[in-house]
Amino acid sequence: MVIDQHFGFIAFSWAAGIIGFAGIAFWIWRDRKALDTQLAELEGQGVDVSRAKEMS
Amino acid sequence: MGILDYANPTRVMRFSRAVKPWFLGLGLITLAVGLYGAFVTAPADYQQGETIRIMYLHVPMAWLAMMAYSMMALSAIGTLGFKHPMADVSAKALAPIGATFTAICLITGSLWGKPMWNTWWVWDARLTSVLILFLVYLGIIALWQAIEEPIKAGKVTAIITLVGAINLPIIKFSVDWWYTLHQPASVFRVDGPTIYPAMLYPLLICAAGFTLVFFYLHFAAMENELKRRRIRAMQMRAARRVAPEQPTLPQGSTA
Amino acid sequence: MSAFRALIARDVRLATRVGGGALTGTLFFLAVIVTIPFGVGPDLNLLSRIGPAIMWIGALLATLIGLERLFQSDKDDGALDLLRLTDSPVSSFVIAKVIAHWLGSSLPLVLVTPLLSLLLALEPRAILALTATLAVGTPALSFLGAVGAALAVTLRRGALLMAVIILPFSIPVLIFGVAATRAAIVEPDPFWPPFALLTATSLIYAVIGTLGAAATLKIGDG
Repeated sequence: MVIDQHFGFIAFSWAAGIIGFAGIAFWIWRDRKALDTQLAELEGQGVDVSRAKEMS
Repeated sequence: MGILDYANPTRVMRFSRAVKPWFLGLGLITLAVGLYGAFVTAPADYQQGETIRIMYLHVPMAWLAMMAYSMMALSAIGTLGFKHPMADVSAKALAPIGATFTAICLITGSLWGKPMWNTWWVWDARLTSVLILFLVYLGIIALWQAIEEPIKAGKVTAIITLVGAINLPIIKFSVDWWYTLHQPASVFRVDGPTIYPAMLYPLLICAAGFTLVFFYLHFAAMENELKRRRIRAMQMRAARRVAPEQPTLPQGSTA
Repeated sequence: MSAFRALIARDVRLATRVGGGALTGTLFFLAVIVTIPFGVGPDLNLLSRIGPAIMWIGALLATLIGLERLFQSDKDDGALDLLRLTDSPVSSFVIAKVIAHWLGSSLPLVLVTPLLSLLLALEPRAILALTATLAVGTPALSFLGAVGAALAVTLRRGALLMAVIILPFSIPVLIFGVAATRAAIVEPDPFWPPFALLTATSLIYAVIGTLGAAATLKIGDG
């Protein structure tokens, strides 16, 4: 690939792709963390979490 | 072993955890190969020059945006027609992922359009219908957030998903029906692709890589949703245990 | 069949009474058409060029806003619950309600269009095309809005959300309607292809809208 005058457009496009993928992956990961925290809280309250634990 | 065997959440979770890393790993490897092809072995385009490198991201994103919606529509049929318990979990997980791909498609398309057609946007059939697809995705995500009860949310979003499904053939065929600025189909055609093999293969490999990563994301999101529902069920059960006894009337009173 | 017609007749009467939706919708339409020239400027040439679009957008907004409460009275008086409990065909109910709404609210818009077109300096050919496209295209909006109305009555909150979800689907109607009208003004563009597409869209939306609204109503508050 040659670096020509359109390099900026190409770079920004692929950056948008990377940011998009990273963004959705991060969002899913953060959701997972929040759910695990909720699970830990429920466990702390003495709720039976064994069925949920077999899911995580 | 049919699709109904995957009606059991625990089973789905176990399958997902086993299979997820493979999708991610294979996806990244495939992408690495595809990107090498896209940037190194594939030639620059005769007319567009180096900006053709954007195609290897823009086109797979467009395909995946439509595939994600199609999967949502199939899940919707599963929910409404067959009452499959996992269908709405799948659908809910797909919405944000599909929306992200559509957004990347629109952004990269705009960045590709500026050097190629000298405009960031044009209201032609293909661009307009993809923008509508994006808005529909956002609407469906908003619907999921707006309805508290999961079963009801699943049914309502399923209906809206199917209503919006009419957009898919319009996106696909708009460039053939109307002579517009966006270029006509050059890969999925009845007569076969019209694109150079040296560009076609890296494109297909990149698409495959992105698709595998997409499946990884879908499974990860489905796991979250299953966990969320399980937690909700536990919270409701716990709340019921804590709720005070109903006060009883003293003996001898009439009510 | 007579129940169907009775429902239509009742709803039309309700809509055209004072306080019903018909007058409000038409006044809103009028308000939009009168306000935009103040923003755009008095250049008659410009106004006649964007006139069809302004009329269409006004009709779109007036119709969609009026449609949210399509099923509200039925929810309030228990008719929806009755519908869900018995095996009544919900689709017929939806069609009757939409027809009544169109007769009561959208038809006045169509009838008032030629008058308002004069405010935008549209020529006779444009006025005719515009009225025809609105007559054929507003049913599409009505059936589409029925889905939004069904959502509004089924969900506990987020009435604004309904407008957001429904609006993207109204774009093709808008595109074809304005395209057909512009084609009538600007030779050599043919009028009939976009007009035919508009008609097709109305028919398709009639089916999808009825099925979607009926399915949503059946879910109910549950």
